[in-house]
Amino acid sequence: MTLFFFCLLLISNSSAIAGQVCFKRAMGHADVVGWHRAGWIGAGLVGGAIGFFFWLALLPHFPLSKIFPIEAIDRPMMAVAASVFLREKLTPQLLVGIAVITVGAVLVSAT
Amino acid sequence: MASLTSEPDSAALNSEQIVRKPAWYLNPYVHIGLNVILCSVAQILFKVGSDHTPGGSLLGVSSFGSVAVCLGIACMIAGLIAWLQALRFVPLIIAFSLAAAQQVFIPLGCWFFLGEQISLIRWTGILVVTLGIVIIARPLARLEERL
Repeated sequence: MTLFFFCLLLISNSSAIAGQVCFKRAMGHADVVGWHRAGWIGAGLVGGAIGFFFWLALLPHFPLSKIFPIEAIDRPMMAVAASVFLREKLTPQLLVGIAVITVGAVLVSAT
Repeated sequence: MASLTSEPDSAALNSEQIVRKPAWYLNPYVHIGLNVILCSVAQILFKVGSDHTPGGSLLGVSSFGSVAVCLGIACMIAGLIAWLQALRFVPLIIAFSLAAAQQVFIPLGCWFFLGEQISLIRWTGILVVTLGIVIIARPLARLEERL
């Protein structure tokens, strides 16, 4: 994978993570309703759509079973984003689980 | 006499109804599982569709002419609805970690449906990802049992 394609993957991941944070803001609070909720969902969809287009551009160049696991770098990125932007608690067990999942995904993608 | 004995029963029934667990299809973890399956199917459909459309488009727009890609988008939309429902009750980091099951389902789907090879190291990785999901899911499963 060249630097160009790796940058495309990073843009895809970052946009998708921003979208997920917006989705959680939309659905996670009882006081977020109506147009307020629709706005956050819309922002989430825009983030997801940007990530999706970059992902679709990457797909024809690599076998899916090889490129998809590389996306696992978004697990630690998401842990940081959830902690910083949503103030979600990261327990030791959760961090161990995320680390194991990331290692597993790297093993899958290393072949 | 009958009414005296029936009163506590009806009270117990009412309290049981109040604390009764919601139906299984309302469980947010079922929605996460549904999201995982639908998104895995969608990714395989995207791969099939993009392989059968001409390349050269940087953002893959030409792939939208493919039936497989359109079906994949439909699966993604259904998966998104399930995901939003799950996010109402589950913290994002836990839901996102459990959704790592896609890392298992997609390579297995590619192997089974697309004939892509899975090496021994990749099988090991799939097992390690599964272990990570179990580490995160076990305390949640215990909590569910207590409720």
